[in-house]
Amino acid sequence: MRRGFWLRYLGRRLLAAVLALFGVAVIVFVVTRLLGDPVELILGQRATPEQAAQLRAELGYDDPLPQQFVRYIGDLVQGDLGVSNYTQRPVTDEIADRFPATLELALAGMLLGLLWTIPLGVIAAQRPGGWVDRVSRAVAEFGLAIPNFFFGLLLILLFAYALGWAPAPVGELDIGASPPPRVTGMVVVDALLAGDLPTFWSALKYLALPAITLAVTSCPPILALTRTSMITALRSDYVRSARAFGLPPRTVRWYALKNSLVPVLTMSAMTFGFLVGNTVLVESVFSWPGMGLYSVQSMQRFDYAPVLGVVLLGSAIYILVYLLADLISMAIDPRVREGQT
Amino acid sequence: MSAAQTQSRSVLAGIADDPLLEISGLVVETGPARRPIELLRSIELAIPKGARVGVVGESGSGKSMTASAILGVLPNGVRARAGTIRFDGRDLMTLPEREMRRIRGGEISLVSQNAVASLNPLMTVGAQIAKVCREHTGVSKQEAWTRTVELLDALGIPEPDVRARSYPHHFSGGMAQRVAIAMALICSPQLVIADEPTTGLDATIQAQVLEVIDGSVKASGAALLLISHDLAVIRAMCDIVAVVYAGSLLEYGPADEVLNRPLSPYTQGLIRCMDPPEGEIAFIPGRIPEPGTLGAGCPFAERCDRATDACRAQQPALRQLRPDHWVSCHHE
Repeated sequence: MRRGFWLRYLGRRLLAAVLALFGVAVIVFVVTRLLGDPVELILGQRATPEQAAQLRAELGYDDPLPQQFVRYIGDLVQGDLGVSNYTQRPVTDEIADRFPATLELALAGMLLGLLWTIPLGVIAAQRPGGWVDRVSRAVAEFGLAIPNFFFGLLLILLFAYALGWAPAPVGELDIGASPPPRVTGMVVVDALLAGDLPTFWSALKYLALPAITLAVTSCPPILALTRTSMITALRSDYVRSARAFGLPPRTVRWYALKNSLVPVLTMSAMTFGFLVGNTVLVESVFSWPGMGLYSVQSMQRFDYAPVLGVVLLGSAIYILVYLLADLISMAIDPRVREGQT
Repeated sequence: MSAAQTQSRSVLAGIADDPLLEISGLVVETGPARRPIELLRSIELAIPKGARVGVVGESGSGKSMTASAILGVLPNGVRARAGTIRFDGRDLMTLPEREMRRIRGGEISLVSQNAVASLNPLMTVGAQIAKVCREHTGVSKQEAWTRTVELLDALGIPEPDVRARSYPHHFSGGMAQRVAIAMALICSPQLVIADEPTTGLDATIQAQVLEVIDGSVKASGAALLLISHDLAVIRAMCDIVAVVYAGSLLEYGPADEVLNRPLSPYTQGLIRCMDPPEGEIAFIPGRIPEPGTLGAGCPFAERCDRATDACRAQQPALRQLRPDHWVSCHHE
């Protein structure tokens, strides 16, 4: 494929992404304005109408909605997500504080999730109905059925309290430990960047249980899909013919795996988007200083600016991850590539 | 295995001094080991060096299963229980997997029915053919590519160096079949198995593909095992015809013998179907029995208008009734 093709494709996708984000901004803006009045919540019920009106004017909530919207979008394109009514801090700062922790957790959960589901799905597909297949399906069903916060609590009970292999769930690091110099905001990565191995190991231990929780409870669909598409691939004509032409088993398996990867990629992208947006319960259980609690609290407080910021960020991540999955699919499969021209 | 080894030569061995491929007493079965379902019921087959043998039979008769058994690539859950497959002095049934792999694609190759589906959709066709070539000959990447493009050219693919860089889904059925034939011929095998190579193609394309197989196999000096349900294709292409039914060989002999003076009532029925008398739609009543439902009798007895109690009681042995012409029937 020529470079022009990829640039054109990327340009088109990014334009579509901007439009989609704009749409999200419109929807969230309208929905939050419909939900309730933040002024009452900020002032409490005993405030006089005059005080309320004054605050409303200060915050700009008595302007007509279109005007508020134009102001909001104008700020947005300059990278300004507004100020939280509750904490009086810029939303971008608050998100920058919390998002890396969530991203770190979601990435670790995803990585672990891919590491157990894809190989297991591939092995299970070699002998459908065999013992690997049955055991892996039981594990997957368990992971799907159990609520993630409950599984997290079980892990804490077992590994932190009963066995003592993992630290108590107090966040990303020992209480009182000094975090490594902030570069990415992800403690594990920053510790590694600073060359601080003891902190790195310690952070890894804190990361382990919540990441395992996410990996076990969110990734079973990837296992199921890997298994089915691998079974289909192994039964296909091209695999039979590759064997009939004397290609080594390794090559034959690789043919099948590569062919079953495209749907698995899309499913993984979906799972990752889900992980980023649904960590709130797991974060609560493990006292993880991420976005989960922040976004829920902002919604409860009708704190418009953070809610909009969180939703926009979540959407942007979804769009980005999907784009990445599509790019990899296109690199693998010429038919997907040609569907785009 | 011992029982099989004592009678390892097929009754058909007399067809040539030393057949290239000789299958004798091959039993292929599936299902649980205690109650197996036989798919091939002690089938026999012989392919002389350089000959073109056509295997004809209805779907479900075990034609393709025979091809898979020869290549040692039976589907999961299907196993060869008894018999020998002698190829060029070796018994393929007892050959270690490593050596078997060298034979597959190198000495015996396969052209399968759906050429597009038989190619890996994620690789260019040239890369796939070159890969098979390198696997068996160990030549350099460049040399394998050169040979691939030359062969595609010889098989009538226009702009072969461009087409070699295309993916399978860019090819029409007929062109894809040429690619599949190229893959089958790239290592100069001694035997090419073509399993329904033209089924599903338009009649005009079918003729072209048959011509390509005809010409290229002749040029390479390989033997051809052509599997088809279409007697007309077999008649046009082959010098020996084998008629199989429900996992057994019913008739085997020179093409003009078998097609013009058939001995088995089943063969006679097939020929009538292909070439019915004026104003008649010919068919053989009934249908091929499900695997595992057959008793000890002749497998065709149920549909044969000449069937007697003897036919239903015992499967007739293959007997040579005319020069190089064998039949399994109590009536002849």
